[in-house]
Amino acid sequence: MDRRQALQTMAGAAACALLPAMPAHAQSYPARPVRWLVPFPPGGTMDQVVRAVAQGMQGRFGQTLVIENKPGAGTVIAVDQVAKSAPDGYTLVTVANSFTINPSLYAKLPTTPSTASRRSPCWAPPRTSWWAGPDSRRRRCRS
Amino acid sequence: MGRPGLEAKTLPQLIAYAKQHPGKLTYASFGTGTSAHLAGEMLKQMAGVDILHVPYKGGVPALTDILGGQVDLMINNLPDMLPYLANGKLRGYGVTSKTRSALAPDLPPPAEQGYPDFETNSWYGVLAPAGTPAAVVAYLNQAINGSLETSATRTTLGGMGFDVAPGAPSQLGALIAKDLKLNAKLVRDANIKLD
Repeated sequence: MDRRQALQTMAGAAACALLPAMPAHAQSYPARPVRWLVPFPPGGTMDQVVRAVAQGMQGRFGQTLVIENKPGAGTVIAVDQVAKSAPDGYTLVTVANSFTINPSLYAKLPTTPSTASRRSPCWAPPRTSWWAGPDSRRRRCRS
Repeated sequence: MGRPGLEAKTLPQLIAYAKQHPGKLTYASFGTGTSAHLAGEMLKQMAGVDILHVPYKGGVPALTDILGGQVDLMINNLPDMLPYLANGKLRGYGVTSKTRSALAPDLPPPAEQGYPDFETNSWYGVLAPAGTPAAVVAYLNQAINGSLETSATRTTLGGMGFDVAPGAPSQLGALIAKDLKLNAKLVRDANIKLD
């Protein structure tokens, strides 16, 4: 090994050390833009959240994220489309609680959830609360 | 918290009223089978009360009717309710999470009101098709978690009322498995059917 070769190897090692730890197989991924389906219309809450998260991924993801709104059938259309896509990480979908309700509501779903660890991480949204509206009964009593 | 119209000022008072007047109170949801509907059924089952479910086509008409007094109660996402909490148009009985929310620290969780087992949260998660290589999932996980940990993403989502919860894919898998089981039981016990 000559001096020039040794320097190149060391430079390579230094560059690797700066990269976040990542499995070897993933090094070729992502090689092209990734489609990210949102099962709700543009401008809705989930759409805003996904766009904010995608924005924060810019620079660290290494590819363009193409956000596509595909509302319909209580998220079933978008989920089904992604479930039937090639399992290569180039098609993603954001889901909400309904993903865990639909299998109990619809006798026949085109695809069903698998609970194996195939998911990227989640972010948990607004907590819910109990609210009361004005009581019409009492108002009538007063009038 | 309570809206002046309803006598009940706390969740226990509300439950007591519902027990004395079965079927008299009504609650709104975004629609049959939505998370708001299931949360209402969960509370009814846990407290042993009869409150009539009124499904709306989405959150906006439900909110319109609760403000107009056509329906008594609603479980809704907290950020959507904060303005009405601030101006006193609606009364909050608590958050549905295990602990208090930073968005509305005055609202007690059910655990502080005698219902330690009542908990329901809305969440979003990102999924890839089953069979996606673990290395690709790990890469996506890292990229999404990385975004969630930036102050810009946290600020944007926090402003919308979201807590960010970066975590491992297995954690989301466990949440989904838990909710699938819980919701199947709720749908069965409450006999929820789509029209």
